Amino acid sequence: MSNRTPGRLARLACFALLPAALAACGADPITGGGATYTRMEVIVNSISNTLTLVSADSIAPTARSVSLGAQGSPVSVAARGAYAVVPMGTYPFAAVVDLRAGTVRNVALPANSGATGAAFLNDSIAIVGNPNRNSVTPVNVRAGTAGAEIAVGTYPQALAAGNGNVYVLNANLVNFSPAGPGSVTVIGSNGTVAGSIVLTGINPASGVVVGNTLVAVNSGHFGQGDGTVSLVNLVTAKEDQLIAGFGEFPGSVDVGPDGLIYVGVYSKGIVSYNVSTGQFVRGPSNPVVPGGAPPVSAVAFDYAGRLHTLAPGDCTPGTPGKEYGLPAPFTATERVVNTGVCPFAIAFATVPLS
Amino acid sequence: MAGPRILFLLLLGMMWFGASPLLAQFPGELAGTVTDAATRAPVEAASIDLAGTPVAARTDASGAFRLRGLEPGEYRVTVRRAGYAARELPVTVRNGATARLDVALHPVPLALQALRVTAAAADPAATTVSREQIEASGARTAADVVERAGGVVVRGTGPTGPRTVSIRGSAADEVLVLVDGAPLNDPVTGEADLGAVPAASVERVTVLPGARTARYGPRAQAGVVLVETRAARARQAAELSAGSLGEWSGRGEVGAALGPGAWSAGAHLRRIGGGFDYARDVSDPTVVRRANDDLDEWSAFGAVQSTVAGGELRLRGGWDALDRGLPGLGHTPSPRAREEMGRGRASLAWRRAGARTTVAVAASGAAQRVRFSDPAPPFGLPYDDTTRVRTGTARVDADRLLGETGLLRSVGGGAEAGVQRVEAGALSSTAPRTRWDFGAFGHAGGGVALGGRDVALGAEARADRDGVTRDWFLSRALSAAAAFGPLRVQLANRSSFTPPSLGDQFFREGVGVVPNPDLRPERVPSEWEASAQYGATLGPADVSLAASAFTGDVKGMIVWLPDFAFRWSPRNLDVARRGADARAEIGLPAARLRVTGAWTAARVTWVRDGEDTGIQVAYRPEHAGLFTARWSPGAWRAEAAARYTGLRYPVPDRANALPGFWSAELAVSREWRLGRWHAVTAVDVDRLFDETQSLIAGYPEPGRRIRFDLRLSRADLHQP
Repeated sequence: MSNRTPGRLARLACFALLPAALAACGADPITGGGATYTRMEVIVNSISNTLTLVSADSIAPTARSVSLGAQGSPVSVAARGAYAVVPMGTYPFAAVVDLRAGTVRNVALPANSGATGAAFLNDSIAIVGNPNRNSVTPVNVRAGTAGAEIAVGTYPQALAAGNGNVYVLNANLVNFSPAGPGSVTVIGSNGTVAGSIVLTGINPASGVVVGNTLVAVNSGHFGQGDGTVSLVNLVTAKEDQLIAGFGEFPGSVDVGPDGLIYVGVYSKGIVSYNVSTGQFVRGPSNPVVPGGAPPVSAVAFDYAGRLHTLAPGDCTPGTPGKEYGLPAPFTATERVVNTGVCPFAIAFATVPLS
Repeated sequence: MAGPRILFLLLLGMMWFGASPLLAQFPGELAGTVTDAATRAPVEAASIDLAGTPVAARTDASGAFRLRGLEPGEYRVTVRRAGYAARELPVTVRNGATARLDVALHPVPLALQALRVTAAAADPAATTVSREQIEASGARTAADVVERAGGVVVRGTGPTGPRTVSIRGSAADEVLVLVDGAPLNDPVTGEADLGAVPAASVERVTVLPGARTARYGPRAQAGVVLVETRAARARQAAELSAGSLGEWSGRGEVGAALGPGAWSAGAHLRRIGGGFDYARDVSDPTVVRRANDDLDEWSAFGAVQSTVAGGELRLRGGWDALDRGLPGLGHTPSPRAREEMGRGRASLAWRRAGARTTVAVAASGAAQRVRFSDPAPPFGLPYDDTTRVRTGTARVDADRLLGETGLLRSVGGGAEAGVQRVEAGALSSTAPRTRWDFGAFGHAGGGVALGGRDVALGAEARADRDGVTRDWFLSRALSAAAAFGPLRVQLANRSSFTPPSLGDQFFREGVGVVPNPDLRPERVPSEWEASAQYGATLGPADVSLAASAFTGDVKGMIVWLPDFAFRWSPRNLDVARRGADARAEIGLPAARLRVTGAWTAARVTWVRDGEDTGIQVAYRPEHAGLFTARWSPGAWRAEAAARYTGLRYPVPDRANALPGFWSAELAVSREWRLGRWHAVTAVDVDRLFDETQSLIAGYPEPGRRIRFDLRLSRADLHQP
């Protein structure tokens, strides 16, 4: 009896600790290629001025918060390796966050930058948009320095990385209203302008590069429900297709492992579109709405093909937003994480631990 | 800085070598009435003299008198009137307080009778700053004056920018600021910019914390600031100042007796060139030059005081004007943003105080034009908005003393009406141009015997009709107070409300702003306040202690917030509010030393779904403190102050906290006698240790500022 009791207690303890153990397993560092790293989801909370860092692999993840400072209105983020870059909006700085230490270093951008939109050109250089100055600024995340401004199109408000380049989405806003179709400025791997692409979509707000295609979501005119998606051939530098029907102010986009385009429409939810068939799988009248109610402020797929989406709620004080994780077929929620107030953007990083 | 430093040394040397014994500054007051001991009728034209000083006064038709600017200490007061026996009475005047002396003169000669008077404020939470204190403090604006009251946090954006008041953690639009009875609060924003009221225009400021709607009307939700503009005085005065940031100012006033009263008039000019070096940001040590922070300000006033129909009549009028740059954030300056303001005001107040009945009538009017413009803002669209406001208010009230004992001892009531015409470019076409507001109020005082102790009871009620929504609002204030020797305790329960400002309701729609048709007034349904006061002389020290605790949740605080699409809109959100104030004052008359301390803790936290989130509302310091020490040996006067602004959050979350900080001030002055003239030479230093922290992140402060003052005045006869 005395010999059996410890064994039973041990089994009970193991059973009781199983969920935590599983969660811990999910958050365990991953070893590969001789390096140890962890996969991290980086969420920008626009009203709190914080980042929520979530382990990407766990269904019961741990989250921690990193303060970005007293000023600013961040709405975008880019992450790569050990660093995340957060353009601070009305505060003309880019916050460079060391994702391992949770420390923040602000890099000064040109005065009145309006800092919005960021993408990594390589492991060291992130390109940050200065929409108020129609330019972008290269930021060296390792040195914490900013390079010379690079002139781009009118009102660059989003950037996407792919094929060694950075694609700057110029919204062509004048006095905060679309003055015409947007455009794309290509920043080559050497950090200079390598070309530009004319769009027919209005107010491009987010983009993702898949192979040789840039998928850009165009928010359109506010209140007119004319959101579209542009498919841009990066080889021919031409917009191949403009897909209409994305409704009122779509704001984020990603491409799923199933090849569908997933678009977050603020006031509706997540709509999906099949380019092959030219049909909506879930249209604006039948969107996926994690948590049961919009708004949806961001969508992104992680390395394992899970869909992550942000629900900012009403952005009022004391009301945390939520991050939902949805496994394929991306209709049901697998996990929910509380964020800061008004989460607005997601990025993923594979963070080396040593 | 070399210039001010050399001037400072010269002035200090001049003060030191020219020292001669003389009384220092006079911060207290003595007020009271003189009546006929036989008939209880007021005695007019009785002379009030303070033995050993040139200070004197005469009673008005109601028998009232007031002596201002008295140094704390013991005095002997002589009261004379032909046909009556003169009386000589000892009086104790306490710092910053009004001592009360009611004297009955007998028509036949009587032996002198000693009387000790202890100052007692009418409201235990009230703080009053007199003209003499304002002048002695070197305050530049009414904001500098109000900042000296405990429980008050003044929020500013740089040395010349707008400055608003927060009381007990409130928003600026939850504090009613009355200038001679007329609201100073901007009808578009609801906020009062006390930085635009020159201190030269101010006679007296009283700060009353707590829900005061039942007495003062809408918006007095967290407190009320009563600004009284310059009164008529038989006095001549002039002042010249120069200091850091290219500041210089001049002031002059004249006044004389006018029958039973007095008149006075004056003008003031102030200019600040601005411009100082600062680090662009906490994250960017690049030193840049602050630009567009200049200020030009001028003001003029006139006042007449006399006796009409057996009562005291006061007429006041004035004009304040300023032109200043709005330099914006340190990292994103706005080099061309400007504010131009001109405000004219006139008021009439008549008050007749009888033995049992007091009647008061007041009317005031103001016209104001404010223009904000920026042809090239750093972000957003160019703007050029002008607001023109014309306001008229009238108030009648009466009080009747029923008896000294019994449940009901006094009653009173009155009515107040106001009209306001607003033309504002920032408002939509649907905004009402003219509004009529009305309020009726009543109050009663009494007492009951409880456990052998007299418990004083008070009740106030007020009904207000909002001129925009045409809804009626009821407010109340109930209080009970009892004395236990030198300890006085009070319990009060009050309610209050703040209507949305015109800007909340009728702003001009644009990109990123959305109206909220469901916006409601803010309400404090029930605020409880428990307070205690203790005052005594302990050995060589006069000790005064006061503490209060309050709780009063705000239902539907109006806050502008963005939604998920970053469209801003006013919303009603519930807030839990509780805290405590404490004040202590210790005076050592023999050493001419007085030390004060005040501390306020205010937890103002968001409530969601009925639960307190514990998240402090943005930019509301959880703690604030003010400590002063004043030493006035002979003709010298030195005052040091340390101010603490506590931890605050810049966002509606428990993140990115800004740590608390201290700032220090020092004022040294010396008084001279030049025949019948008094002269004061003074040095004021703000941010003594070159502190550059600011309450609101992003607005740079210049650090240490020095100013030299030369003040001349002649006042042989103090008018009541």
